[in-house]
Amino acid sequence: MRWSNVRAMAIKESRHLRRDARSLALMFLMPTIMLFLYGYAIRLDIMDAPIGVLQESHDLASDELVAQFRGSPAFQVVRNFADRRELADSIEKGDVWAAIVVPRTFAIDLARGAGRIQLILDGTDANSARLVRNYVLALVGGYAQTLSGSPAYIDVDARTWFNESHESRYAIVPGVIVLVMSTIGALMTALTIAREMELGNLVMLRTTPLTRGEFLVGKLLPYFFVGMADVLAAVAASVFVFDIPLRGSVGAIASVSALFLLVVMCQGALISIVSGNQMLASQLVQVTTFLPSFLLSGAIYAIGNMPLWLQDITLAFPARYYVELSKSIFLKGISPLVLWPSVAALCAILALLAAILYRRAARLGLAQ
Amino acid sequence: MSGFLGGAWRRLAALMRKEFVQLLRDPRMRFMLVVPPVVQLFIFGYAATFEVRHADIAVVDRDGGPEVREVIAAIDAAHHYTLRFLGSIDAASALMDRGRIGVIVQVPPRFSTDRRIELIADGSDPNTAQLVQAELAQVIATYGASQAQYVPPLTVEERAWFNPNLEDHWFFIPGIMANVLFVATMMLTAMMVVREREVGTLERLMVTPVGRLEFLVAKMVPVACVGLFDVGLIAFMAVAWFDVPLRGGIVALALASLLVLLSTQGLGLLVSTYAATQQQAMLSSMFYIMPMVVLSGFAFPIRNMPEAVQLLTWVDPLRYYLVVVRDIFLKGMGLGDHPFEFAMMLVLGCTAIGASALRLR
Repeated sequence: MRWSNVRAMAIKESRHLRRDARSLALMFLMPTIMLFLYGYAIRLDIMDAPIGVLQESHDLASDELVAQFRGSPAFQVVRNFADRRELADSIEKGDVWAAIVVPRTFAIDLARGAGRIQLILDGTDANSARLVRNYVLALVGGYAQTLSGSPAYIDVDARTWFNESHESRYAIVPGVIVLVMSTIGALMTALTIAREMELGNLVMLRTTPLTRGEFLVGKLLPYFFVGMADVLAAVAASVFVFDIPLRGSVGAIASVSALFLLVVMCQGALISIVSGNQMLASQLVQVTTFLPSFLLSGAIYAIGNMPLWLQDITLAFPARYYVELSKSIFLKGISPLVLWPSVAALCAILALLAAILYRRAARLGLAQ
Repeated sequence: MSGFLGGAWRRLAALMRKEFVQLLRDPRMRFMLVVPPVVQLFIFGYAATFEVRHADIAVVDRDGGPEVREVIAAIDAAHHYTLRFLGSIDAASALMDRGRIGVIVQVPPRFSTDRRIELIADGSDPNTAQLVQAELAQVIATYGASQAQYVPPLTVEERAWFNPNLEDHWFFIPGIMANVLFVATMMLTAMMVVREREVGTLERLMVTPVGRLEFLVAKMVPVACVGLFDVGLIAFMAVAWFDVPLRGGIVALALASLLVLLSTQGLGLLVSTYAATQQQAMLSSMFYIMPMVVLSGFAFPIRNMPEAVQLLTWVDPLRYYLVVVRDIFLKGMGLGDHPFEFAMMLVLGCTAIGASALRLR
């Protein structure tokens, strides 16, 4: 591989990039927007869940119980139903996520030690329903305890490490960086080679002494720098805008990111060469890179909750390893060396992809 | 007049045939139009779940008494936990560092007098942490209640409507429909138009009698067909494979899909008016798609978003589509139940198409 050829190719490619101001702007804007959306718009826990109350009797005991719900930060009592019909309507329309029914005989039953209330959940959004149910059960359980005056038999002291306040964004933002990189890394490289093939520039390159290795390295180099700039900007935004603690070192996150970026770029280039046209390449990237990094990486949905066969499939996707590394470096502050199996997996995938890419690039018909 | 119209119709038919052929000629492209929606459906259907079916738990028992063993046995019997017994909190925390365990149950010495148990969860996955902690606390409380012969004076009888077992994929599958429809149709529309420009065939079309409207309609109809086909495919798989109930009408579903296609294709056209290359078209499409998908509430309830972000969701056509599709599937609603959502999709769609028609001059 002659360095001068690589350099010439890289210079040509970066000129392309520089002249296409719109794409370049998008490449920097998109990660920012993604981070902000995911960082601000997504909360996995609930606050102020809208609930409605159907209180069939207005005695002291019922009033006191309902006051518990009104006072809780988890709920916001937005409706007081007059009857069951109204309750059903409201849940059907989605005005409330759940309804509490305090029956007419509640006070008498409670005095007998057998008070019962009904909780009706809108199951459409299963996860929100589950969270609401847990909050209701905890609240009612605690209230029952104070009513009966008997202290809990066992004290449970629940703590959370690495993320004391259960902030969703602590967990999501380090994971979302993977989306940024998949989009920028794979998408950009996938289109760039397919474009040369589609427009026929490749034929011209065949008349030059450029070899396929030089072509690939020169082609990918500028995108690597853009990608790294994006990642570092995303890391900086995570720390300074979203207050995500970076407990590990900047060097660790940068080097792991560089490794992952290389993997996705190889993926993009391979898709490019296999597909040969931009429309197909763009669809392929969506399916093989973007979706898995969103769904199968653990960035948002925990891998441990998936069925076992799917957990095994996630092993084939590099995003999974990167998310694990990124979360650990950010939140736990541990070095990638401790998580060497993930690093090794990324290296192995990179080697495999690079080898396939080099073989497949023979079809470009460049100089030997 | 009839001759003129007949000519227009012939041109349109010819153009449309060309677009269909171009779109479906490449077997790999045909593959891409069918397989990704199905793959997406499967992955989403199985992967997108917040339900904790299984958790790895470390137990650090520093008391060692018989009563602790009973508590642990109660946890073990609970269902889906794999317990690992470790000698020290350091060993447990090292495992948590590596992500091998999600929760540590630590029993301090002198349990018989203090009766205190610590539940330490890995906050790098707060959702799982919260759910497992809540479940464990429940198990321990139940055990404690039976020991102390405490009968809570107050119980909750719970019921979930529309989705009695709280299946996550019942919620996500309508979202996938919206997602696939949006991504496929918007990007294809944008790229098909831009491709003509990039490859230079647009100039050749300009010297033919083909009008602007004919050109656009011929581009939009094949993509719309692909979109509707995908919707049908996903609806079929959802019902046949995932047992999602389709309680409402298919007509309402088709109409909602047609209306949202106005917006997605309109946006695709809008992108094509300023993108010079397919690369730009692709990037700009992503630029619209990602926020719109996130803001549509497909996975994260809109109500949980900050107020300012909630306002943004008002101009997101997907938001309305999702409400309609979910209600059709799970709540059995029909054509008449969502006048506002249908109207908003129509308005947003016409705005997008109008804006791109203005720009395309």
